[in-house]
Amino acid sequence: MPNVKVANVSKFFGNIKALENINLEVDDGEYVVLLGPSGCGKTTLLKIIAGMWEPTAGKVYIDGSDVTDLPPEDRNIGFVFQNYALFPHLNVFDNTIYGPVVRGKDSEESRRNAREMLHLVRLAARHDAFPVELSGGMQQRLAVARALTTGSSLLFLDEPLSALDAKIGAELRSEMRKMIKDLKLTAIHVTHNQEEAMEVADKIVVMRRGRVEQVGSPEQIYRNPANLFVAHFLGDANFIEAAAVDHGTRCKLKMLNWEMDIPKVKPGAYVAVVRPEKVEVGDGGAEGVVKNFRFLGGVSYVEVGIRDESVISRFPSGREYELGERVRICFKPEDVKLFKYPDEGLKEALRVD
Amino acid sequence: MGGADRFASGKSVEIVFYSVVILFFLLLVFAPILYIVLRGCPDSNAMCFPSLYITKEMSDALINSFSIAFIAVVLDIIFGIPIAWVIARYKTKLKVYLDFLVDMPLIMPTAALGFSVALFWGGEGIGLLSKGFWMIVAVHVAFTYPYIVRTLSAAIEEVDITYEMASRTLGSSPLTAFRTITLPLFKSGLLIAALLAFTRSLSETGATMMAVGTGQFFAATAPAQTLLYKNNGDMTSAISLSIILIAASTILLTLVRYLANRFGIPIVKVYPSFEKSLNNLKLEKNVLAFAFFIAIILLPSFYLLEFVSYSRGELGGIINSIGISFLIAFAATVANLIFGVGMALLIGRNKYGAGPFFEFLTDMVMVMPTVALGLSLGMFWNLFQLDELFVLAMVHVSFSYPYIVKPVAASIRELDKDLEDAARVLGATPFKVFTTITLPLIMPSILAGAVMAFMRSLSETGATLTVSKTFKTIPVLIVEFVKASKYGDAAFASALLLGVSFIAAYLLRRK
Repeated sequence: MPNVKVANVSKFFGNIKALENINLEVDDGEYVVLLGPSGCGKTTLLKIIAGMWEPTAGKVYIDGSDVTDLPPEDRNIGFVFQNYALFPHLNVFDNTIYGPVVRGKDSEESRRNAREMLHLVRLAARHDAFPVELSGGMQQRLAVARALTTGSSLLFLDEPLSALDAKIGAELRSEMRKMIKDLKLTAIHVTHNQEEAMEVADKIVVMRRGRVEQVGSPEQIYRNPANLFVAHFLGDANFIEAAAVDHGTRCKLKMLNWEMDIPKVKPGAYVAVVRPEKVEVGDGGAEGVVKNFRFLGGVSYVEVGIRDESVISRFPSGREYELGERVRICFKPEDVKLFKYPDEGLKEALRVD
Repeated sequence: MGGADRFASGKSVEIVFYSVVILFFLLLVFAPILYIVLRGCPDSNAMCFPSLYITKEMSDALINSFSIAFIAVVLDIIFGIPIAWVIARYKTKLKVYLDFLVDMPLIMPTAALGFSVALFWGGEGIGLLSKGFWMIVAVHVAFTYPYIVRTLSAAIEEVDITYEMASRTLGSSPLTAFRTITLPLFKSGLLIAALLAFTRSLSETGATMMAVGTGQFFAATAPAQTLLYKNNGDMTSAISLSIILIAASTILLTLVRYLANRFGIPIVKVYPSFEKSLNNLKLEKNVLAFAFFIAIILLPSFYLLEFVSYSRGELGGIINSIGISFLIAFAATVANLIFGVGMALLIGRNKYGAGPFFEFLTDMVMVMPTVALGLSLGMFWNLFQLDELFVLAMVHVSFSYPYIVKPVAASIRELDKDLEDAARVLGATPFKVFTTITLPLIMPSILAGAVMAFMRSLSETGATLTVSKTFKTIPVLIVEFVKASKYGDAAFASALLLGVSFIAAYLLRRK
């Protein structure tokens, strides 16, 4: 049963450090998502694990054995490419059976296998069509079927949904996760789309600039981001400049035009991170002016300007606000995540590229 | 937005422009070539189709031509694919050197190259072959090789490397991936490469003349035989053979175009362990291909440098000939740049739905044996009693025309139409779009085409020999030296031309 271990892997392209000292473990049957902005090194890492690129330093283990020097064809993996790389001169069935054929296993059994796989991805009826004749969603499903027909239980997915319309991609991702779980596969999935990551992953690895920023379940990462960047990249958040002031027995947190009692905080400059759904518009708290209000269907959001900052509140639709209306906002101390004010500045700490 | 721009973008200006382009092609490039077919005999007052006949000598020459071209192309493909592969896929220094080395035989006039190859294999060199059929094969392998490798590496480069990677992740060894994925995907490139090399072999005269042999070893290709007829004053035989050659090459072209999209390369069975072990020989395979390239192509091509000797008496003639060669090549290239790019636009954009038609005619010019072409053009232009230098230049315009039109048309076709639409939306007139967007984007292929046309003109022998009387281009002079057994002078002239070409190529590359 496949598990993957990446030990101290680095990759340099000339002077550019694409990956720096990456360590990662993927358990058998686990669905892991490598998440990060473009250029963070996630695809590089995936291609190194799959054997398409060699790491400059470090080791890759699959099933406990060192595969660092093994070519991709000897790693027994399935790989779904970003643009699918469906062979344009082969029809749907020949694409699907290609893996067994080049391994010299073109038997009746593998043909039956391929047909079953096509059935599973709802393409059995199109078995003699060519890739160009398929819709984007069909091509994506064919790419998955082809990767799985090799019989590998380790599947790599490189931005598998990014070429699709948003709606189709969103439908396919839950279907894909279900299939992967039903077949008891181990999967490593690369994406820059945090919603997609939250929906499919057992475990998310957040990457930035060739490093791993945080590893954890979607919920852990959302609730307890390790740093400002992770809080920013996963879900929406308000970043409010704050200062903790010592008042003898307890600390007070000054932010906006408001003060809050916060236990166990040392004095200093902070950034307070509050998710919009935790911000309430009501009677107490900081007073400001409505700068923007949008109705989004089930939820609405209101942006409140206070001094030169603004705070967003998201709430189940119901109340509506006028621009310029004076309102008060507040949130609970337990919904505030405090981070030391970054040396490089808040803007730089949040920068995605 | 200037008024001049608007005027230049007008519909009527466009029609006038394309009319001029088409007229130039039909009247000055194409019609003169077919003149020989219409006239059919040297006597300018009569039409004499009945004089079209074929003798045993002619059919022997034709059979030689086709079998030599076939053997040369097969050898080129077998040993050319690995080198093309390295050039297309490797990112190392090796690629850069190979890229340069493979083009080297192109710089050499084919007459000089043939002369050099014949020296290398013959009694003056390693003595393995004597002049005759197999010597011609050796010569043809050498000068067609760059065409095969160039075209193949471009075709391989166009196949997205992701397909190979996908195949590898599905369990193929690199060799299996190449055989089952890459090869079928660039089969049309392969076919084009084969056609190009085949027709170049079929049409080449100068290089062949260096290897025809005498007595019982005598073997001539059809163009060489045509030239021999002409030199012996047997014009009716020369014309007959020319017409047959024109017909044969046109049929061949039609056949290949018809087949191009209709043949497939089946996967058949895969033997994983066997192919894998073959793959482990990859290094040896590359070494073999590399050794072939050095021993069969590179060394023989430049062997003549061994023989360079300088005799004062010939220097004036050599320099004079180099001057004539460059003058004619320059004039022909400039004329083709002006009118050929227009034709490329017409083909690439499929203006008035005439694209495929003119593409076929351009292809016809390209596959036409240059001896036949020269013979026809000479007869045509002599109707008007024109200056020899002008006739020479027109001959060179004709056969080098496709070398500019083809690559430029291809790059126009590949151009993203959205880019031009974007410029239009931003307010550019069609003429402005052409000068600010289209032209800069196709400039690399215009330059490449111009260099190619220039080189072809510089190295052409057969066509020039059929019309030249007093003006001798450098390949013609080299042929004369060899005929007079002045090997040292022939080598010297070749070396000098090589040096001048190198400097020209270097200056161009620096730009």
